[in-house]
Amino acid sequence: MEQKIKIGLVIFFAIILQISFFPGIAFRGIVPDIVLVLIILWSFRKKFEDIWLWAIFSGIILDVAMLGKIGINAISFLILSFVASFLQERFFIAQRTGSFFIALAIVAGGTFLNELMISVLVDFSTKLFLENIILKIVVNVITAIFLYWLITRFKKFFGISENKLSVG
Amino acid sequence: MSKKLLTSKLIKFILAIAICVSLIFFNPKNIFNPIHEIFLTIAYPFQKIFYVAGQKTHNFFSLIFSINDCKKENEILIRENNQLAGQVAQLKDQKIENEELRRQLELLPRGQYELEASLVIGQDPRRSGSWIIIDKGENKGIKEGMAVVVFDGILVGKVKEVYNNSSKVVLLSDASSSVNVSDVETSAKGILSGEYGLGLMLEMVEQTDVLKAGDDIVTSGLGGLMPKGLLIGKIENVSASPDKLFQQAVVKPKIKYSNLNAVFVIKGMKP
Repeated sequence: MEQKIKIGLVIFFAIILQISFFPGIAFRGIVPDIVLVLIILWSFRKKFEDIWLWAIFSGIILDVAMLGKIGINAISFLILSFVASFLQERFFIAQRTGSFFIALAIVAGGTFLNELMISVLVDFSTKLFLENIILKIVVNVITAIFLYWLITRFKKFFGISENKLSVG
Repeated sequence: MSKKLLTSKLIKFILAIAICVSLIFFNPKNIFNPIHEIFLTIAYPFQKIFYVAGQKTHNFFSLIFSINDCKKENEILIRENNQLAGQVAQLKDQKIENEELRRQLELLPRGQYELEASLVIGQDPRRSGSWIIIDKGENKGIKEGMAVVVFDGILVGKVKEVYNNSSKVVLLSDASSSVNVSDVETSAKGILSGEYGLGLMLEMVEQTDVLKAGDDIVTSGLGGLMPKGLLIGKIENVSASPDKLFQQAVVKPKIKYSNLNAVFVIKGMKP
């Protein structure tokens, strides 16, 4: 229970940072998707069964914080969490080296998918601005490098066992 | 065993997707307002602190990055200062002329508005220039559709959703924004729409009307709670609409919508 509260607080402050702190310092208006990156990296380290409720919860809270339609970020996070977890389990499980770069690649792909899904669900359009997408991927990958280090350092806090960590 | 697990995983996944999709497409308007209210009440102090911290960090880094340019800038400023001294006399004349024009164009002076000062506590993280969250709501008399301006009376957007202690303001550059406007110099009328947070587009201007690059664009006061004469920006370039029936123009906003700290909501006219 204590751990759930801690993780809930991490998600809450990640959302506050995303909505209220980073828009002020954003480079060319590009704000890092901290919650998305957190969910992808976390899914990469845990089983889908352990993460899916957190993915929906953080998506719904982000939707509430953005005063938008509830369910949009939730659906995106759920799909990305499923994909990250699936890729990790099916294809990368044997790879003990290079997992850091694989995680970054999943974040890059996840960012693109997230932008596409939200564009479809919010604007009912698949129109994406290439320059913005590239910048967003770069910003999210930089964020992922920092968060990857943070998750590795505080693995107990995020409920990641030593065994699972060595696989990832 | 593995097949069974995969099935249960897939069922969970599909069920969750179905719930999310139904939430998105079948949620009646305002049904989640109590949830928004609770979240905003809890998050408000943190949002305020983090927003101010973000702005301060931005200012700090702007200062650091500008130090290198200071010397060069100083030389330019000295040169410009000499030129400006010569222009002061000319500007005095223009000031008188400007006041006269303002009176003629019936631009409403700020003293006539009933304003509610608000701090910005959040922005769209996905697309800057789309919407902001302000720290005043229903309890301060804010209503949907009210105009939102910055300190010098420049329009930035309209209130879209109102909660007890906060409101969502859709900025002019958002794709869903549309405001009735007119050209100050030629009185041509049209509709100003947002371009996905990237800029402003003046549309639906009749072919017989005159639009010129450099003309100021102000609100025309038609429709809703939007007062007349609020400055928005300048015309950058004019072209024909894709169907050639109307004219359209790219409008450069007077201010940068991504760096808003404080705004004023126009609640009405002073008696």
